[in-house]
Amino acid sequence: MSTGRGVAVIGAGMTRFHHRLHLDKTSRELFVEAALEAEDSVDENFSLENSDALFLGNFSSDIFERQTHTAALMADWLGLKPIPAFRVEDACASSGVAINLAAMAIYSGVFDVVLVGGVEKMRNLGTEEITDALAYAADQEYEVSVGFTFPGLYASMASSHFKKYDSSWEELASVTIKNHKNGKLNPKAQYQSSVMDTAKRLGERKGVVFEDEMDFLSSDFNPYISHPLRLFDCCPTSDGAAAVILASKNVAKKYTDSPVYLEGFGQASDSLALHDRGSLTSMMASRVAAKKAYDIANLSPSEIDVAEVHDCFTIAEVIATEDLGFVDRGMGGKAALEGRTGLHGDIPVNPDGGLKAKGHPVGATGAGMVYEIFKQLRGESGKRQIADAELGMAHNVGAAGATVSVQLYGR
Amino acid sequence: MEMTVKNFKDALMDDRLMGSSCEICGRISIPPRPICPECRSDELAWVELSGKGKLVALTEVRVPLSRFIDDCPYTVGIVKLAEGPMISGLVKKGEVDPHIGDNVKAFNIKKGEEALLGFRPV
Repeated sequence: MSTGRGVAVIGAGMTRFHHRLHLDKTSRELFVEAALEAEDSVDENFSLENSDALFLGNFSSDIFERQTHTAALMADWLGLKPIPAFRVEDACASSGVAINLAAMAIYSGVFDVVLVGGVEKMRNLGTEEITDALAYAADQEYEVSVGFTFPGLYASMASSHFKKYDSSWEELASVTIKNHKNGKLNPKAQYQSSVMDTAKRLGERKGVVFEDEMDFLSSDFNPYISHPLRLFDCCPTSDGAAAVILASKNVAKKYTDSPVYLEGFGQASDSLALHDRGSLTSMMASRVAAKKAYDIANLSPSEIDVAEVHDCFTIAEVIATEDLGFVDRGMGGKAALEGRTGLHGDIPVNPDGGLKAKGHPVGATGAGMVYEIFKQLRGESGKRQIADAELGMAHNVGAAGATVSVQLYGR
Repeated sequence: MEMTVKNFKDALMDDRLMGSSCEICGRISIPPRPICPECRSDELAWVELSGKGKLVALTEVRVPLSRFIDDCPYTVGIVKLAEGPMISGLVKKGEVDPHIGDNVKAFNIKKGEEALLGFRPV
């Protein structure tokens, strides 16, 4: 494939992802906020009116807000009609896929500037309703029908990983500890407290003193959701939106002297049902999508300076770091435990706190990852900045791995 | 018989676990499919499976789907059947808690009008 025309990110914006903050808002207000911030972030004078199209990732406003047809809605609410507006639904990978599609549209020469992002407004429903709604993205007839939930599917991967690699829940807990530590440094994160901060706060309330993070995480304060995954192994549900502005390389130069270039991208599909996979401890779609992206960019995993990977559950980050080639098979958890994926490790993973601490408004997550990579590669990430980050990855997974999008960015 | 979800579930209601067998490459699939996932042949035949297999993954669900609230906590798992393919099912506890590697056998669990695929230790 030729990517000679070139695609760049020239701006990015996002709302804070949160479980309470946006209860009085609907998805349209959230997406408008993110898009306007993206517009303002462009260095030179830029108006969203310069966008040729909108691509919107949105998993299920249908269920969460009884609102479908959300792409045209957002275009209108941004004052951008009659630009073409495309809604993309691929579960939790909706906006990662939207970005791939937007990039393809620019590569093709059809559009020069595209506003692309995602939004999800989940928190007006209760936990059971959200659990049901998310399960729509699994195989209804053959896995949800017997009682599988998303935590249940990822818990199955965890139990298989433990068995196959002699890995442990303590390794998963080190992903939790790392991502909350990073989230503390991110003003847009849902949870901006370390695990120890939370242990102290909850402990004081109940008159319990925890010696360290593991003491807290292995206590009843961290109940099982789906064994062996506990509450702190699961990302939260969230409201939020994120938007990025993509432009062809030539047009990008008009708006900024420091664009972030799309160096490569890939996407792949797999069976929805986890039981139909060749492996329960690796996602074929992640491996295939990443290989495509590495090949286009002519890069190898060891060259990546910072990675945003899809950690909807701690085990998902462990498996992702293995599938993307950052660590050896079976070593994903140990890499977190040893600090290799921390802010100062050899491959920093999820410096923004990941889905785990930053939050996971499903349809917004892929664009939220690119927001972080854009800021990291431009040196605008404040206290969580990875020194001299030049190459970054965004890895967005739909459901239990049936859709995966990967993008590689460079400055 | 057509390889439909309905026909699979109707058979399960009658205590038969059905799959499809590819007449070209021999691959057995559960549930039955109209196209072989291995070789893409559409020459498939219904085949009744033994229901015997081994647990390869399992989890106890504590935060359930709304229609499983009364069953919570419950255990679900993935079973590798003797004929090769894997399938998800509810796992019934025996006298001891189930573990990965345990031998299990399929049975149908009546839930309302439906039959759900279940497995219990043997």
